[in-house]
Order: sequence, then structure tokens, then C-alpha cells
Amino acid sequence: MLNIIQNQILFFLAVGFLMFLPGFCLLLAVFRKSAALSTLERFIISFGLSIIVVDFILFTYSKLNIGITRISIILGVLFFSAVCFSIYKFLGHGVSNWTLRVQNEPEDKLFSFSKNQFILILLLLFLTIFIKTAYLSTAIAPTATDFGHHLYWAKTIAETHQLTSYEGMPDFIIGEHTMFASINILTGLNFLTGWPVVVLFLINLLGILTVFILTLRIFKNKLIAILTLLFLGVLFAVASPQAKYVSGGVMGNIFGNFLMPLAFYFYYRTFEFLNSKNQYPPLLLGEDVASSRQERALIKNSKTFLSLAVFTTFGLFYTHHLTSFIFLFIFLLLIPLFLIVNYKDVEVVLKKSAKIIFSPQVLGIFVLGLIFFFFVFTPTYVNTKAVDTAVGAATKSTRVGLTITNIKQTVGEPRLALGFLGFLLLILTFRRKNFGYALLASWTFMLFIMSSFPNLLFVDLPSSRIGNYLSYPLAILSAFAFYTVFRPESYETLWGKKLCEKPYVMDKLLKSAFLILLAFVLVTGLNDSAQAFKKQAELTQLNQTFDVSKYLADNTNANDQILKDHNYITADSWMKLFFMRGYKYPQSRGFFSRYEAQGSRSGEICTLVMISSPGSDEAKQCFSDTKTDFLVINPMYDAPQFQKLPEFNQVYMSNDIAVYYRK
Amino acid sequence: MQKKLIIFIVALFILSSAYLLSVGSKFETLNFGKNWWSIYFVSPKDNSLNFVIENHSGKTNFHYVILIDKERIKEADENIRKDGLLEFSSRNFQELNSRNLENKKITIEVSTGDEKKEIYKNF
Repeated sequence: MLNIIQNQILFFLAVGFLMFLPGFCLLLAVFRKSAALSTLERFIISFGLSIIVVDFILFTYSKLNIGITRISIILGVLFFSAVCFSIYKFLGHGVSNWTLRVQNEPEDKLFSFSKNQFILILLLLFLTIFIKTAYLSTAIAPTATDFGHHLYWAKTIAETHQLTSYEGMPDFIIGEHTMFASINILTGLNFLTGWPVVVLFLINLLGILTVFILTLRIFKNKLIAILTLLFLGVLFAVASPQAKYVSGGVMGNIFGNFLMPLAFYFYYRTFEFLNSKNQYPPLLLGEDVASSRQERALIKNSKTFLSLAVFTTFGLFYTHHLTSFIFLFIFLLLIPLFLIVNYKDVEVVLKKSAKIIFSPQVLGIFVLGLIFFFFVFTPTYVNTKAVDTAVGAATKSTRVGLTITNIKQTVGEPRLALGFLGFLLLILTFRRKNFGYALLASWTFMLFIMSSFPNLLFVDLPSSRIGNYLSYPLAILSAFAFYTVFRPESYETLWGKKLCEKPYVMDKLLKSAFLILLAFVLVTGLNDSAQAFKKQAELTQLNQTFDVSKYLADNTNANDQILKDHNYITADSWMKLFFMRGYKYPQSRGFFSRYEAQGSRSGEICTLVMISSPGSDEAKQCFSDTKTDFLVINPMYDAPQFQKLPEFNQVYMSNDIAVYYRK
Repeated sequence: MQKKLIIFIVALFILSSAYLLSVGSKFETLNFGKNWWSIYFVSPKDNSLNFVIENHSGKTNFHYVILIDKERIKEADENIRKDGLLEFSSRNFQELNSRNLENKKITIEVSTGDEKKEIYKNF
């Protein structure tokens, strides 16, 4: 018991040290005493920046051939944090009191909630965390295939004390594994004990909170932001890409759904000054304020935000290729859209944007990022083959696009309906100078096209994987629609005047509709989570898999070739963590469909026949070629074909696992 | 208010994580989901016939039989407590040591209740 408590304390200290401290110090350094960020924003953003800072520290170590050890990680993070803190401490007086005052006023209003709003936020956060925790407690067992693959790489980094090249495979990206490796190195905690799930859970929550502050900034409306917590946090809290992706170890998506909204947040804040009419003196109305202190302060903040946006974008590109790919497509739509809707002021927009974009700090971060990307540590997916894989005509039936029914299943019926309504309302009430409106429209529209009509964009990626990203912008739009419909005074913004004077009947109708819709939304969203609880982890089978893995790790060496079955053995992908003899060790008989003509293993028949028909001539040739001598199968399905062959010894047998040794 | 919100988020996360970590800690010792038992050769690659019965089930009475091809040469009952294991050394089985095992199949059959498992080596 004492050991468990000690491990937990160690874990939380490591999370705070690696995932919060460097980002927090970086914000202190770049914003010093400026109040451009609220306390809540600083808290949330610090985590995202920390993840990226730790990545870059490790990349630097890799280039300098410095081992990634407990000491080097601690020193690296402390050094970075100390430098940032020193900048804050000794250069923090550069911000004038005037700037502080101007910036503080709107922030204080935007982030001060009424008592009821505050209680509602607490309730929604509690429900979000409670539902996810309840689900994860039944799904925390290390069984998910993806998780096993990812943690193998994290363990490789931790054991070899250097970054991995992934044996040339472009499917894995370094940023997915550095944080897990670092926490393991610092704490020594076993990868099997569930803490990786907790880390992903934290990142998932931070993604939701990032969307909350982004929504609050875009709409400057607390109720819409609070409703976003309902639509993204509470409803469909278990469905993909939420808690199911956390327990499933779908790391790239979880990281991506935090870093991409965070990058959007920074880009939005960069261009927020264009929409500053309500908060600050207008900058686009022809007034000569270029030399004013106000504009200088705002432009300075914009430069800082853009630097952080570029930094976060590089972090995203180091973490997940699919999210990065989606991010690029969204940006390709966002920039022209924003310029087109602001065509009347395009000259002013470009002029002011250029002042920000071509500033030393932004260009400096951009160039530094490029140097890291191409000369210090290049992600494995950066090659022409990867581009060929992602771009072009659809090569599989899973890549031809989702139907509306598919999308409904992916994001949930109420979110799809309200999100679609929200999108229409967004267009109807479009505020052209609000970069956030263009961002939301691009985010939603591009994801919809990429997932439903990928052929239009020559996107050749699994449509369902892209469709999962839709739940984030649709949650914001659902909140926007819900708020707009049930706040009668907001009709003004819709039509320019009130539709009616809200007579008694209208009021009743509206309240009834509100209750009915709310009930539908809650029942549908929560029922989806309740369904997910029916599945229980297969602990008995899992225990046997780990037991046989330990047995084989103790009784074999790297010269022995092991082939295990992925179809009928629970958590088989985790076996490689017991061996640590390469990503493709042990070999695996994949899903049968993958050996069919269009399958990913169509050219690799040996792993199939060595288990399915071990006595055949084809299998004998495979055994000879691959030197496979141990086979791990489920005896309920695959034992008879081995038992009749004298060259195989049955050396291990449990309820669900058998091991054969080929002499 | 924002600080209160942050404290609430941190406290709630720590509480839920502590619970999840305590649930996950059992996977470290492989000490979970116990309702199974296994038999295996101590040395799978050589001709040694030492074997182990490992018990993670509620049953404690095990019966084992050693066969050369289909001939029973030894059988006995053993009591193995839950979470216990028992190693059997082939040196204790005179019949095995005195016979020529060339081209023979040595099978260890273990049963408890209705369940039966076997391991074997072909010489």
C-alpha cells in the first residue's frame, strides 16, 4: 500500500515537473507581467507548451549525443525553466502599467463568472471527469493493441536512453512517445500499471479545456463556452475520440485534439486585434492610431501569440501526422476565406498582419523550428512515400468517404443536428473581422469535406479517422446553436431586429422546446456512454498473456523467433514489451482479412500459414526462411494442427494459451 | 474565481487519477484476474522433462499422469494452493530415466475437476 502511494506521489510530481513547469515558465518569460492571458488560460496552455518544450530538449540531446537519462532530463527542464524564470524576473518590467490596465479590464470581465455559471462549470467538469473515470476504471487494463505498440517505443527510448528511428517505419511519430519515456525514466514506473492511460486522460481533458477557452475568446460569451463543456465534455464522454481513445492508446488523436485547438487558440489570439472594436479602440476604421501605445501593445502581444502558434504548430508536426495533415488543409481554407470575407479591408489586414508575421520573434521561432525539423531531428513520416500514401485516389473502401449516417454514428445525432444548425447560424451571423468565425467555419467545413468527400481533395486516408475530429468543432457549433436558439434576444444578431415581443405563448413554446431538446441531447449523449460500460476487461486472458510472455522472455533469446496470434490472444501486442527485441518481435499472425488480396499483409503469407497449416510445404519453407521456432496460439482455435505433427513439442499450456516449440 | 476553478480541476483530476492508478497498480505484479492454471516445461528447448504446475484458480487438488507414448508410467495427486506452483524434476521419475526415449512421445497430463491439460515432447 505504501509503495502504491509512493508511486502515485512520484507520478504526480513527474507530471507537474515535465508537463507543467517548463510551459509555465515559458509563458512567464514571453508575457512577463502582461495580463494578456488569464490565470485559467495560463494554467491550460502551460501543459501544451511543456509537452513541446520537453520534445525539443530531447531533440537537442539527441543531436548532441547526450543520453536521455533521469539526470539529463531533470537538468534540461530545470535549465530551461530557470532561464525563462530569469527573463521574467529580470526583464519583467518592460510592460507598462497602461498596457496592464488595458489588457486586464476585458480579461477580468471575460473570465469572471456569476455564481450560477461557476456552479454549472464545476458540475459539467465533475460529470466529464466522473464519467470518463468510471469508464476508464473498467478499461485501464493494458489490452489495447495500439497502446502496446506505442508503449514499446516509449520503453525503447527509456531503455536505450536515446530517441528511436522507429526501424524506418513512418507510422510512428516521436512526439507521441517522448513524454511517456520521460515519465518512465523519471519515476521508474512500470508501463503496465495504468499510468499511461492517466497521462492520456489528462491530455484529453486539457483538449476539452482548450476548446472551452477558445470558444470563450471567439464568441466572448460565457454561456456558449459553458455549453461547449456540455457538448464536448459530458455528452459522448466515452465514445471515440474521447475516453475510448484514451483507454485504446490512440495517442496521436488524443495529442492532436489538444495541440490543434491550442494552435488555433494562438492563431486566433494573434489576429484578435482585428476584431478589437468592442474591446479596444478600433484599428481598422481609418483612425490614425498607428503610433499609439495601445496598438503597439496589441501588436506586441500578437507577435508573441504568433510565435507561440508557430511553436505549437511545430510541436503538432512532431506529434501526429494525421492531425498535422488535417491542420494544413484547414489552414489552406482558413487564410483565403478570411481574406475574401475581409476583401474591403484586405490591404489593411495584410499590412498589419505582415508587421506581425515578419517580426524577429516570429521569424526566429519559424527558422528555429525549420532547423530542428530538417537538421536536428526529422520525423520519420517526412518522405515522399508518406505523401504518396496520404494523397491520391482512394485505395480502399474505408477511404471513399463517410455517409451522413456514418457521421451521425461518429459524432452523435444531437451534435450533428445542432452542429449543422450552428454552422448555418454562424454563416448567417458571420462576423468577418472575427478570425474565430472564419476559423470555426474552416475547421468544420474542411473536416466535413475530408471525411465525406475525400476524392474532391485527393485525400487517401481512412475516412472514419478524419470523421472523429469533427466532434470538436461540432461541439462548439452545437453550443452556439443551442445558445442562439434559446436566447430570444440573440435573434437581434440574427435578423437585425427582434422577431417578436416574446408574448406569453411564444415564451412557453420556447421553454418547452428547450426542455425537450435538452432531454433528447442528454439522453442520447449519456446513453452512448452507458452502453460502453457493458464491456468488461478480459483480465484472466490478459494475465495469461503476460505470464506466457514472461515465460518466453526467460526461456528464449534473440536467436529464437516467436510467432504469436493476434486474432485469438488478448493483449498480444503488449508481449513485445516483455522481450524488447525489436518492434516486429515477436512476429504476428494478423487479422485474416489482411491476408486477402487487398489486405496490408497480402504479400506476407508466412505468418498466416505457419499457424494455420504448419504441416504444409509452404509453411515448412516459411519456418526455414524465418527460423521461427516458438508459436503462441489459443488452443481453443489452433491446437489440433500442431498436435498431429511430431516436429512440434507442446511446451506450455494454460486455459487460453498454448506454446509450441519446433525442434 | 479562476484560481478556485483550477484548484477544483486539479483536485478532481488527482482524485480520479489516484483511483485509476490504484486500479492499474495490480497489473504490475501480474497478480490479477486469477481463475486459471497452467503447466509448462521448465526448459522448453532441450530434452529436460522437468515441469511446473502453476495454480491461479480456486482448485487445489491436481492429478498428474506421465505417459511414454500411451503407456502410463507414473501418476499421482498433488495439492497446490492458490497462487502456488510446484516443480517436478524428472530425476525423481525412475521409469523415465531407465527407458530409452528415442522416437517416443513423453506426455504430461494434468487434471483438476473437469479440466485437463497436457504438455509433451517428442524425442
